[in-house]
Amino acid sequence: MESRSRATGQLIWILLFFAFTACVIAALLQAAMVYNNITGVLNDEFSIHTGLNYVQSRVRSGDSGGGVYVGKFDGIDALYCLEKDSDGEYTTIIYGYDGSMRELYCEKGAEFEPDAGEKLLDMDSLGFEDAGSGLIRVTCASGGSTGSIYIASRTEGGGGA
Amino acid sequence: MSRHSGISLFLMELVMMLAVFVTVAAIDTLMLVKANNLSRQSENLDRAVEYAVSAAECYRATGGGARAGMTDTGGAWTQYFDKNWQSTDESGAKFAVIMTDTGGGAQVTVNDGGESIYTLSVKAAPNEG
Repeated sequence: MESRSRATGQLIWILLFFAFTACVIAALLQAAMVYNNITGVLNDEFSIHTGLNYVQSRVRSGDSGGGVYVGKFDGIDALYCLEKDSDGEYTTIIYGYDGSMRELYCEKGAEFEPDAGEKLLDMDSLGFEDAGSGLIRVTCASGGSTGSIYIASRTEGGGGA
Repeated sequence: MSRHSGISLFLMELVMMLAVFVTVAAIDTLMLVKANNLSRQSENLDRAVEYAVSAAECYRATGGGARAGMTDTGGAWTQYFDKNWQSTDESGAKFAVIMTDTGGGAQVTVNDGGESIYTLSVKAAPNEG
């Protein structure tokens, strides 16, 4: 009789042990999922909003005399920012290629391949669209999220590629 | 007799240690859930800024919000979004972007269920040409 009650007592402790172990595993799995979700969202949002803000600041800094316009760079949608120097005219081309936002600074009219540009940010796609009335629509996509903004250029572009 | 009580003590100690660990894990999980909520709020604020800036830029370029996909409601332009920031109608909306003409400018407000989360003022400026 005494040994049976002792066995029951031990069984309760063993059951409690398994119950707590299951709780610990569940809590750790949930925490891992939440952490994974947070880092995923932060990474996607970082790429999208950093990209959009970068393009916005490039448009603002080069927005004079029609120096900013949307065009095609080797068949890819691209944003052209023209600069005039005493040496001649130079252009900064921003475009999306091979899973990243890229930037190429070169003499106006010089021919380069898209992979010549410097990688700035990893993102799935980057698109530029001339929305008319001096508006440029920029769209970035990363990890299933998409962000898009309109940027009003004070001087309508079209300086020619 | 002493062997049995030794096993009981060992199990008791193990369970108590696990109880402490479960408590700490629960606190840790609560913190992560709070972090998750903050990250979602931050994502919503990012989206709010994105749509407010787009509305303001369209106002600067065209004097209205139609180009940004907003609906003219007479002196104001509105656009509604669901919880995933997909465009929707007013009845199913969680977020609302409202641009109000203030005379020579506009104010863009983004509401989350009636509570303002972002406000932006824009002034119409003539183009440089």
